[in-house]
Amino acid sequence: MKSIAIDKWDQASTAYDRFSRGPERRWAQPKRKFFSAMGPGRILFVAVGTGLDIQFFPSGKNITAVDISEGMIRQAAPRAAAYDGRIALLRSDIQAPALEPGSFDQIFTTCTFCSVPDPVEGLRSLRTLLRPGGELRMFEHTGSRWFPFNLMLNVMTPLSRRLGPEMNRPTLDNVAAAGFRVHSVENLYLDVLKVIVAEP
Amino acid sequence: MNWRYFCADLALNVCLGALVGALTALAVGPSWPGPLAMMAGMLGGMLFALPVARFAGIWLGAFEVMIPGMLTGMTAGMFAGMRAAAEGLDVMSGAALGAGWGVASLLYSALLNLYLRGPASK
Repeated sequence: MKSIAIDKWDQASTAYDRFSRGPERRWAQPKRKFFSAMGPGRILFVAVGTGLDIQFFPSGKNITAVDISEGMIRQAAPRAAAYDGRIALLRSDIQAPALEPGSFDQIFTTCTFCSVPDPVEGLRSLRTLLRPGGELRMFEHTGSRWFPFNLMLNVMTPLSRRLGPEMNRPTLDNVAAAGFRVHSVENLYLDVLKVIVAEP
Repeated sequence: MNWRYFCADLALNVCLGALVGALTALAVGPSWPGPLAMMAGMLGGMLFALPVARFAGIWLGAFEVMIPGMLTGMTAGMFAGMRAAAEGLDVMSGAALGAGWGVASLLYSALLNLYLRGPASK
């Protein structure tokens, strides 16, 4: 039986690009900088979606890109094929990934852990996929510690949850709870949009 | 700071604040108890602003639009509601008051962003 999350993202896959144009344009520069940290080893990109982020990847990398939704994978396929490097697209649930443990040097996520149903379990799964000395790099939005932004994000969450993401997740705490050591955190917009770098 | 985005954000928040202020002036009258007018304006303004900001976000971004937009809705609704309950407020004055809070909300978000942006202390 397909899960609710798969159905939700399959349905969203055809209209996803239309609603993501604004954020993609506005975040182009920080995303390019974020993905410039891609190294020479094996890279896992979690929740590739329709592949909008592929345009920001540096060329010549060896990337496995996964998504829970077959619809998203279908939309991402032309962008992956046009990439100047290697991208293998796979359908996989990150809470139970069908990938070899300890096989990746780096894992990248962008705005993913606002939607994973059990974020700590998902992050634990990612930890098992990293080689010793590997790193997790996340471009994520989280809840805020600042009033009234925390109040607003809490008000938004019951509504946004119906479409996909939750706006008030304590992702930094979740990373630590999953057993990662947080190496650095950089705020990109307020304390809501941030880049988190962590080690297993 | 990207000035093109800042100008677009400013225009959005001025319009959004004016709209919330005008609607609050229409809805709330001097017969309303002050605390009720304040709370209704605050919540109503915030909830009204969310879909408007989300729609504008298709062109302008995500959190950079939604967060100041909701703050504008909240402050414009709250202060217009309080003024309308205290002494009555005509629609044009409500729009002007809301537009002012739109500017203030955007500036507050932008200044706080300048302070918070960069390496976080966790």
